[in-house]
Amino acid sequence: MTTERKLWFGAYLHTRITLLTGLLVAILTGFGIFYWTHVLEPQLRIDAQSNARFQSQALANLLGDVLAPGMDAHQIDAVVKVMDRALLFQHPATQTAFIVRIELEFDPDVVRLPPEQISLARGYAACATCFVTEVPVYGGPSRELIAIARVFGSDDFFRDLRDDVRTRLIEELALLLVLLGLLSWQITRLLRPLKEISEHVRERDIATLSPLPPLDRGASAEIRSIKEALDALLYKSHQYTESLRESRDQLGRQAKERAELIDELESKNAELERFTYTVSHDLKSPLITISGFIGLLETDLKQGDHERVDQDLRQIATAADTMQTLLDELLELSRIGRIVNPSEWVDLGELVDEVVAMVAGRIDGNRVEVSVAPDPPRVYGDRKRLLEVVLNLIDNAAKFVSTTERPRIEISFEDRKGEVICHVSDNGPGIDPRYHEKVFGLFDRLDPTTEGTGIGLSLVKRIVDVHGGRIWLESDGNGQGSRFSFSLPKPVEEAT
Amino acid sequence: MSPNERLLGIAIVLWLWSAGLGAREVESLRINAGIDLFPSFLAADLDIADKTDKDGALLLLLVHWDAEQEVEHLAAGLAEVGHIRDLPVRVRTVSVEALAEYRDARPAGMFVTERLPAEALARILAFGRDAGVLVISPHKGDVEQGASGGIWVGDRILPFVNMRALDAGGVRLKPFFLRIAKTL
Repeated sequence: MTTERKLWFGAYLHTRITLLTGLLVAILTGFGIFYWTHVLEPQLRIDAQSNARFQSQALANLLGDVLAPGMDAHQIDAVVKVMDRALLFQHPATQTAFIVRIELEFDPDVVRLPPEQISLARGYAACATCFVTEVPVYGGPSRELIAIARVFGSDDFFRDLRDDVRTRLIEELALLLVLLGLLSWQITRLLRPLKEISEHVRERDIATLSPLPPLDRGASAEIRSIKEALDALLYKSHQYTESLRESRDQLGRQAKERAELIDELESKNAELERFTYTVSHDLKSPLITISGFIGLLETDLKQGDHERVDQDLRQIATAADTMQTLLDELLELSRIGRIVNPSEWVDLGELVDEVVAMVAGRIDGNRVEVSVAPDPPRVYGDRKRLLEVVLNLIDNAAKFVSTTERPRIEISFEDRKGEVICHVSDNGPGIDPRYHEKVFGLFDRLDPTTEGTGIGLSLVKRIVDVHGGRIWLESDGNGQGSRFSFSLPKPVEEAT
Repeated sequence: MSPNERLLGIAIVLWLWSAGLGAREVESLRINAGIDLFPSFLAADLDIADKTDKDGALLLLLVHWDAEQEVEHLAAGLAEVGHIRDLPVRVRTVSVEALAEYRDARPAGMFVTERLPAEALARILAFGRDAGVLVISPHKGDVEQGASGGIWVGDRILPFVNMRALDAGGVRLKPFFLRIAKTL
């Protein structure tokens, strides 16, 4: 049987008590009314009537003492005197007469009275509610029936008693009802906290467990004890739940980290494969050159062509230099993220100025106009690496704008919430959007005729990645210029 | 103690009947009340004047079974009445066995002084019926058994009349008396 059921047997105890109290009240009221109408009131009436008859009998005996067969009108005064005296008696409780009226009817065969005195009446007008009793009046030594007395007994005492008893009954019933109501209310009040506790617990799931609300001051010790036990249980459950949640979060984090690690490993593996392939391919090129010119060198030496020999040796030296440069830059690339300089606050403006100074030869040679936006922000990172980033971007820009009629480079900054962005824009030939990703690849040179190893932008991307930032390119190609941007996150304390 | 006071006393005691009086005491009280009402019954007999004996007196028979001594006491009390309807009263006690001796004595009325076996009561009732006189028995249940009259005891003590017995014996009572009596 669940607590959801609201049927009688499943109802809350206080509902049952309320219903029981109502039922009890109805039964008691019904019993009270039945008892009054069918038992008490009739019994009182019979009792009062019996008393009236008994008094009538006594009166008849008194009258019998003054009556005698053959009595005449002269003796009637004694009878009247007895009747009047009987009318005088008063009930001490009501201060009203016991007997309201007496009617005496003589047997005309027994007495010698004139017809107008055969019936004698004394007292007040007959009352409708009086107890009327007819009693025989015997008289004389022979106990002959001389008259029949009709006695009107007052019902005042009965009515007073009846009203009094009824009032008392009503009062007691009302008092009983009030007491029952109070009892029901008190029990309901005592049990209400149990309902609140159960509702509180039912409304919550394992994730939102909380201590029970405070109880009223009137709550009983037993209910307080239950609450304390439940609070303790809830507290333990809460702790257990928190522990489970923490473990779950930790597992989640670990899984995420593992997944990221796997992704990173896979990415590095792929990168390593590409790197291996690219390195082997690009290193092979100067080796082939060297090998080829060594063969030519043998031939030229045998022929004694010194001029060709010098040319061959220069070619071999150039190829060796190229190879050296490639290896140096590869070594540098491998150091990024592995060998880390301490981070520090770096003023981007100073960094740009330093770079502009470093590439002043190319800038001046190509007559490139360089503009730097005011109020450059500061960034936090490896200064040496960041210098390489800016150097690569500005140097590339200066290199590729040389074909433009009025070459221009603009360096601007954005200080956003949580990150700083640096844009390096030029009005060079631009890069077709199809190659925007490719430019950051190792040894990927869009124009093989240009100088460089193709490692520069890979190196830049690697540095920005290591700093937790992003790098991207915006360009429509077709001589529309290009804009390289990189972002660097602000340190947490500054970002907040 | 006047007769009325005595009747009131009897009424009070009978009223308290249920308060623990024994059957014997109640019976005794009923007999006393009945003997008080016996003259009233006789006075109410419309033909009482015709029921005198050869001496012109009303012969009243107190019939008993074996309690002769107590009956004498009742007889003495009844004899004090002296006259009923101006007719002198003569009281005799008689046993059930000796009742036949009074067949020609013209009794005016009979009173059963003690509770009798059914057969004995039947003999008395038959005697009274044949004599055309009232047979009054104060014992509970005897009126229902055929006695002409008795007493009804409640919150009052009233004459109790068996109309069929009256008719069977040819006894006529005054309507005034019957008005107040309980009838069967």
